[in-house]
Amino acid sequence: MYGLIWRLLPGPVPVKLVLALALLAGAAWLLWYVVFPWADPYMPFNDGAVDTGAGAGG
Amino acid sequence: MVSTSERERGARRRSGAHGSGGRGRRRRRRGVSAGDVARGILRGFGELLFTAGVVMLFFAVYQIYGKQMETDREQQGLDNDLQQAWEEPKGPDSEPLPGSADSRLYIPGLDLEWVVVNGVQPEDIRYSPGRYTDDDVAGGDAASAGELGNYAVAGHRTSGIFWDLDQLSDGDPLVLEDAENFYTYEVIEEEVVTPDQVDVVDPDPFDPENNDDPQRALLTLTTCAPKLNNTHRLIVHAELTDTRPKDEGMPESIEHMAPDDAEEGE
Repeated sequence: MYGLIWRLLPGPVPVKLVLALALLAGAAWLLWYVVFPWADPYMPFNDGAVDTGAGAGG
Repeated sequence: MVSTSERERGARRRSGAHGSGGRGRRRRRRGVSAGDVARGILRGFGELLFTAGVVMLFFAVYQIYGKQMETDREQQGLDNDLQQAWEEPKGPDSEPLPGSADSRLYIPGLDLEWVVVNGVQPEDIRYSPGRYTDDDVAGGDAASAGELGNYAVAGHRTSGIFWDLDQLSDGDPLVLEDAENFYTYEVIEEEVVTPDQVDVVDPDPFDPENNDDPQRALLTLTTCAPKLNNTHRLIVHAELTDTRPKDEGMPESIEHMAPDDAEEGE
């Protein structure tokens, strides 16, 4: 997988390195600002309220 | 490393007619054995596992630092809302909107403060502690700040919210601020209960007979316990000890937490 990405990146090694780092940064940004905020409410370890009748299980 | 790759390319260009990388790759693939395929699949699988591990570690980092950032940002916005809400005259029976700012809570012992919102639904308390409203408590009678009864607040056990709540002990001050007053409460009890023990947010959790006519002004904080788990709830009860009108300034216990643009003398 990573080997394939490396081979698909164009240019000499320094260019590949910069591109790879850019890809990594892009993936990290996407995770941090899009995927994680979306996934967070589904995580079970955040509940803070007692389960009152209003369904406030969150 | 630059020179190696350049040399490689040069060599390839010299030997291959067109100098395209594709030819070299195809040539290498000709002698593919079953072992190569198996190794390729295993390597791909290993890389996936490795990636999953890194993503999960990253998610753990997000839980600690990312949510702190989100909480700080959300609190900034709520601060403005609160200021507005306090300046507007309130209707006599206007039921507060869920998720709207209600009061400010200070825990001087932990050097923390938040705007408390109305409601304890997941969307209300995502980045802020939330108050159990009339709909959330038995008998439908939640106290306002400083009133007789129980002002109960739920918060996530995340950094930036109630992460360190277990460090409170008896006698520690908690301060609630509403439009008119600062209310100082002192911690009187900490307990760990199961999530179905909703009587901790009753108007009088210590004596259910008084629920219709509470005699004490209490502040109750609820969050999950143990950390990063949701099997139990950590409950901190505190009782009102002092009410101080705002024009007398902040109580001593929270003076060091005054905002930089001090709102004294309002």
